[in-house]
Amino acid sequence: MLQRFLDPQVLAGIANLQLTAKTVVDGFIAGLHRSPDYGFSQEFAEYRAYVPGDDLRFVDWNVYARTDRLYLKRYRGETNTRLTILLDRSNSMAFSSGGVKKIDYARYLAASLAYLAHHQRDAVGLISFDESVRDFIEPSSRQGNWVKLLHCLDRSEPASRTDFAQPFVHFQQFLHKRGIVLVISDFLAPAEVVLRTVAPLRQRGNDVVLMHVLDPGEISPRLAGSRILIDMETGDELEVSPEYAAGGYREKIAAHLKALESGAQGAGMSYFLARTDQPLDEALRRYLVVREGRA
Amino acid sequence: MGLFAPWFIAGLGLLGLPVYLHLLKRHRSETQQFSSLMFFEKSTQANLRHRRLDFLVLLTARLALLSLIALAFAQPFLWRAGAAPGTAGTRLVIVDTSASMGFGDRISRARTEAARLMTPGSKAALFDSRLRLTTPPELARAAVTGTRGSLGELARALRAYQETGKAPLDVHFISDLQRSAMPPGFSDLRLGPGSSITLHPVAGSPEPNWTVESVTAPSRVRDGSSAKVQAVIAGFHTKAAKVTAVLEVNGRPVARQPAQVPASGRAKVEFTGLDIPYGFAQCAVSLEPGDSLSADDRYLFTVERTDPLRVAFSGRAPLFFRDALDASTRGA
Repeated sequence: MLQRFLDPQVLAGIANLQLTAKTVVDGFIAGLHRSPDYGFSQEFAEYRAYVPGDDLRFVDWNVYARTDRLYLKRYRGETNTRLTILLDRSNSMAFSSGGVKKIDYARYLAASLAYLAHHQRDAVGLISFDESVRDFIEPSSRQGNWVKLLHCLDRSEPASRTDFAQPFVHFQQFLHKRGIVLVISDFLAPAEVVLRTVAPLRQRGNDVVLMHVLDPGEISPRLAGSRILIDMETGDELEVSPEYAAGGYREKIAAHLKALESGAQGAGMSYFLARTDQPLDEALRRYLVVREGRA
Repeated sequence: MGLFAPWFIAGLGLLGLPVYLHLLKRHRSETQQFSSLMFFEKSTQANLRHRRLDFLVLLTARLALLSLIALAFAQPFLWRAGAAPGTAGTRLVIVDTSASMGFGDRISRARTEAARLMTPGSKAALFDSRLRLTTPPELARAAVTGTRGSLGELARALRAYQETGKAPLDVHFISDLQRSAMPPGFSDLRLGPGSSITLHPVAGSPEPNWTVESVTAPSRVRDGSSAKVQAVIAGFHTKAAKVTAVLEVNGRPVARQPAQVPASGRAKVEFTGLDIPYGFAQCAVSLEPGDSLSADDRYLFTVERTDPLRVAFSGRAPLFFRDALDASTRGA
């Protein structure tokens, strides 16, 4: 099972990259990650715009006096972080246009990142959801927790429809400590709904990464003739012409991707589109490069 | 309107194929699982309805295409209305150049008549055993070809020519109008619709003509001394006269025989002994002197001289075989 999830070639491709959080949560085990712990004994890192929920104690009032804008003064420290992976296991994740299923690709991705984080002694947890929370593994850096997480990933099969609103309400009680939250989903819901549901995680001080897993057949569907498409989650049917699939549909999904990306950036979240026809290591590398701010 | 190949109309049965494909075979879209339909709209189906309308246009186009193909193979044509009264079609002047036109000055008179009939826009042609279009200068130099033409063949060629030109013809045929040129059936002389033919005879009054009508000779001889050659000398519009028939072997006269021919009658002459070399010999019986129509004054034939074949018979009836072989030799 470990070999299935942790392809050595995949891990070899990302071994030289370090998982560096952009904003680091508090931790109690010394490690390589930067810490957001603030204190005058720490090295100054940057100024960040104030967002509702930030502690007013860290507002740089001198800057406010000069610019009439609120900025937080941030410092760096070395610490570990908590990585929580939110895995969408709705029926739409079972789609495949011939290559790897989206759910399989998402599981490989989650396992690889979890392994990397675990290798760096980060606490790793998993929450799988569809219309409700299905599995929850508390973030921990213990070896047993890591194996438990892989077992949970292995049995995460698509079973129901997606409903972002309900499970994310439950997340709030699980994610009481700040850290990195990685949301792996196909986000087949209106962009404003997705962002409105996920944004509270960011507002609680987490570093949120939206990893958008899509099949190339969803981005650029090619129909040989008119087809009756069956929605994998609702079972609805609709007869679709190839002309629409090659024209209007592509415009709509491109607008959807654009709205997700711009909305995520506007809310201080990271967004990455992972196509299932891309090599897995390439997707991880691109993700890590984005995380390090080198893309 | 008519069809040159009406049996190809049966190809219209292929029209059933697109009708089956478009109407009888119900359209059924294949189903396909898709992750979400949130980016598809109801208006998409309106596009499909419009597309089905396109299918009807496609069906019509396919039916029209198949019909045109079947019709093209059937080769339709339109009968054009004949020329209005008083309106002449394309003038075609034809000069007969068959062997009989070599008699006397018939061919020269035909040339003169042709030159008179040629007008600007007229077309010229020669006819012996087939119709050949030519130019007016060539028509003025028309010469006898020595073949025998048939008026039935001329009418058939004119019908084909009219179909090609899709216009009525005003035919002027200059000929001696030999009786032997008439076809077996009078309907064979039918021309195309709207066409007319005007005959210009150049034979004039009947003129006397001598001819070697037939020759009877063995095709193979062993000993030429006993061979006999018989020829029939005929006279047309001739008075009773004495003519001389000459037997030639390989171009050299070897014997002469006089014959008394009654007025417009026939006489038979016989040559005994045919001294020819081994192998095939070109022989002829000709008249001396010839008349103005020399083409029929000479009758050609061939004779082969061979050694007798020795055949050994074994059996009870050798006499029967010997008599049979003698009879066949005499018959040859």
